[in-house]
Amino acid sequence: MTATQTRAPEAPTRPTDNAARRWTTPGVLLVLVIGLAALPTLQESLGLDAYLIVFGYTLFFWVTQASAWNLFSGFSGYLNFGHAIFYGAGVYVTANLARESDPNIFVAILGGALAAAVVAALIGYVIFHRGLAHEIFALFTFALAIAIGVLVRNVDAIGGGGVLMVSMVTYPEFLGSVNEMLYYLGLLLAVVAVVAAALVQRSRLGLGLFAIRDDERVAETMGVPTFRYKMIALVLAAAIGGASGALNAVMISFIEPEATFGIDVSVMVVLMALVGGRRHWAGPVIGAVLMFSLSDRLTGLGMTELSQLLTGLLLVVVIVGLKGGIHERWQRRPRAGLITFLGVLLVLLVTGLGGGFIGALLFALLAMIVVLVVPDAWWARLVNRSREGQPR
Amino acid sequence: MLEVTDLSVYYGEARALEDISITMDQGEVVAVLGANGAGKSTLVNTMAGIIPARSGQVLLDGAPLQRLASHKVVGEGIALVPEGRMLFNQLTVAQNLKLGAYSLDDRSEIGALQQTVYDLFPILHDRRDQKAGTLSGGQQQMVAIGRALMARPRYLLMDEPSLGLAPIIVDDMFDLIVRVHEMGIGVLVVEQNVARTLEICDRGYVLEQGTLALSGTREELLGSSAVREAYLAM
Repeated sequence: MTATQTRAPEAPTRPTDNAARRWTTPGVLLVLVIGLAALPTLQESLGLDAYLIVFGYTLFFWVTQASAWNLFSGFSGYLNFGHAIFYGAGVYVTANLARESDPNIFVAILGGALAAAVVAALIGYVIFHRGLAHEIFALFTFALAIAIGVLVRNVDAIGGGGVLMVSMVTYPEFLGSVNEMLYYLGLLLAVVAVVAAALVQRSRLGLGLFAIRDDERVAETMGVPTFRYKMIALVLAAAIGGASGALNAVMISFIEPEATFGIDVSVMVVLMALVGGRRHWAGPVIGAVLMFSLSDRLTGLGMTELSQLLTGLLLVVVIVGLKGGIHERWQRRPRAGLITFLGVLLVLLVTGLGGGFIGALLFALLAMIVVLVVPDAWWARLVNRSREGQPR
Repeated sequence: MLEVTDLSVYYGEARALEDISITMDQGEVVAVLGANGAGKSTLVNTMAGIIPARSGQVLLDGAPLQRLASHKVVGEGIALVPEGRMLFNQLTVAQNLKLGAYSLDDRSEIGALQQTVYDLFPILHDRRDQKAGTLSGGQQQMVAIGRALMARPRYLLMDEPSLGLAPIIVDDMFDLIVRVHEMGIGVLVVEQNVARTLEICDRGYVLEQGTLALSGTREELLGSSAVREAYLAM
């Protein structure tokens, strides 16, 4: 079949993988994590705002939840619109432990992971064992989250008659203040979530999930154990979501069924993954950083409604202009994206025009999106024109 | 030896196949011919374990394959190149090939199989990081065949491999069936392109409305007036 070889256009060739390339991303991430872990210690001497610690924790929380959601739903294509079920299972483990005495945070986190995993196993068994379709899964999870909220509101043994308080938890002293403890453990869970997603993506399990997303019937004929894989991924995603929920109970401290199982968490994680990109572990990370810093800045300026409007606008831009999410386009223009992001970040930090670190981060991300949102054809023309303009 | 004995398949109440018996050796290229709706695709899909039989058996070296899930049938050494290719369009060529070897465990063997496929289709090596859905029709058919070969089959079932391909590529397609056969793999090919199929097969079966109308060697089929009138328009 040589005829096709001459007919089709040449595909861009990629340099072959080598050891240096393979370790670049883990290396950069390791440095980043070490830097983030050192932040609370250095914060005062660097003259940084103490709010950064709280901001950091909440950012880690969203990175964790969005990555956990994506590990199952993004990779397999089964959209879960009730991720709050798993998150909430964790929240309520801590809340119920706190009814007796101040719980140990590690016990709460493990308990939260376990509770969410059990709930996920039940849901997964009911849905996947019958081979129900994607749409049914989406509707089922959405409805179940609401139903569970009502249930918790009315069952005193779980919901405590409406409101539960988590006033204090016990933890080792070296973790510092409560906010610092939240920051460190939040970072740890975010690392766990992102590493888990990256490992799954590279594994046989990940390849099987991608095949399921593309065509489940064909995947089955290839020998992909579809039922088992969906169960494993859903339970893993739930466990991470539950662990992070258990920690977050300390942050919110005033626990209500509607806020916990409502659409806030469920919808937010879907949007973050959608904006960032669902086919890669980095997608939900980018989406979470972007969307949370946007809403944080605008809320901080007292513009909560504007925040919702802009979030909606951002969604439209990404869905229309960046099919497949920011990360997928970034893979095609990695250098342009990275240079824009780092360049704008650096300029804003040095000049102080961004209004602090969070603002600089946000504007740098938005600038990167502007560069990435240019359609491929225009981009090619732009690059060519700038090359022609240069003296030979 | 791959055998089908007294196989009947129904879609609800509608009869698709009735009392079909065929045999083939690993050294053969066997054709299944027939008009649209004759039951050709039903036959190969049943053999691949995708469609359940109402009665009768599929036997591999005398052992029944019935009641095996389709992915178990792959493990037994029977691979299907489905009609319409059924690729994972959003996944890369390399990922598609890897999924073909999903029933195998040995990594070095998978690597060797992948090399065999790339040797057979050098263009797939160039395109290995490209999404399968972005390839031309002929290249997609190569991926489909390559993916089936990744399961290390002893028997390859091909359902309308020339469907939807440009005429010049159809010729390449049939050359390719011969090359796969030369690798020691038995090939069962379902085709509507009767003339080209009869050039490359050893034996053939003709299905009509779910029943076996005719069978014989290539020469016998070419000599049959029924085949010449119905399919070759001679």
